[in-house]
Amino acid sequence: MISCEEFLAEFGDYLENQISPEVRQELELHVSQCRACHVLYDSSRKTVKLVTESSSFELPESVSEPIIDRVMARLRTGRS
Amino acid sequence: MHLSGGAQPPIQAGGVVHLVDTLQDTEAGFVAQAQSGKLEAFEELARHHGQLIYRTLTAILGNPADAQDAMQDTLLSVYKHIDGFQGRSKFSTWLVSIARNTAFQRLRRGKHFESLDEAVCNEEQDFRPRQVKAWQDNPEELYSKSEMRQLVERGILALPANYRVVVMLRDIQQLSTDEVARQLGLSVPAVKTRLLRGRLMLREWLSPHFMTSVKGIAQ
Repeated sequence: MISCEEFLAEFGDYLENQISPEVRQELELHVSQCRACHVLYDSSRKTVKLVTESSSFELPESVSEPIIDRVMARLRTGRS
Repeated sequence: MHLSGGAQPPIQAGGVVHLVDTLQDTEAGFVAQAQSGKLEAFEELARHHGQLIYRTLTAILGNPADAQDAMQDTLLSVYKHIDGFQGRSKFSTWLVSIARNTAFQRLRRGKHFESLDEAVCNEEQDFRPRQVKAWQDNPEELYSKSEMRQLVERGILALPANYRVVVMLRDIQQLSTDEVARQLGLSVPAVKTRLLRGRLMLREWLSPHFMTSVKGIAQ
């Protein structure tokens, strides 16, 4: 079985799902037998999912529209 | 025709690539019109890309209120320099470069400038995960959508700027790794390193809220 160091070296690509089937098999075997790496993988995967589904930092139209309106007003009056 | 909302290009069989091409052609048309001084075309581009500009500004400035302030300067700068866009990169890439410059100018004025350059960021600095307690099975069920969004936003804003920018463009704006690298002028390996470190730091920050002993209520 690969070591934790070897697991961590591939960890970023594993999270991104950018590894070959052979390497994936090695990583999955490691995760199934190493509790610390299993927790790291599971919680990191959940972190990415929470972040991508959070709709964070959406600029509401109630904020963006007045900004764009002010910009367009300045451009129309030639004060850019 | 609009770039967003009302756009209804003809989608034919197997047409995802066709749709992307159509939207890019449409955008190129709007850019050309904006370059010739048609303000309606510029306004459409501003509305379509407002979210990307705002997230880029927030990522660099680390503060949504400052980002909202900087949006007006960014859009005026985009209009002022739009003749300089020659189509060698995607328009969105060029917009991000203008937003970055605007944000950096503000940071320099405020004298708390954090460089995003590869040379300045110590990529080799080791980041060791400290938190090894398991997370609950369905962490998204512990908080309301609004509480979760606030929690994620607080965690992201707590990241150092060079990690925050990459995490926001990749995981919030959902650009590809290659696209993030192009937009920030970084190498793909540097983006991958920062993305992993940023995600791990965010995981550490979020862990106390989602560990198996936690029952809910955002703090």
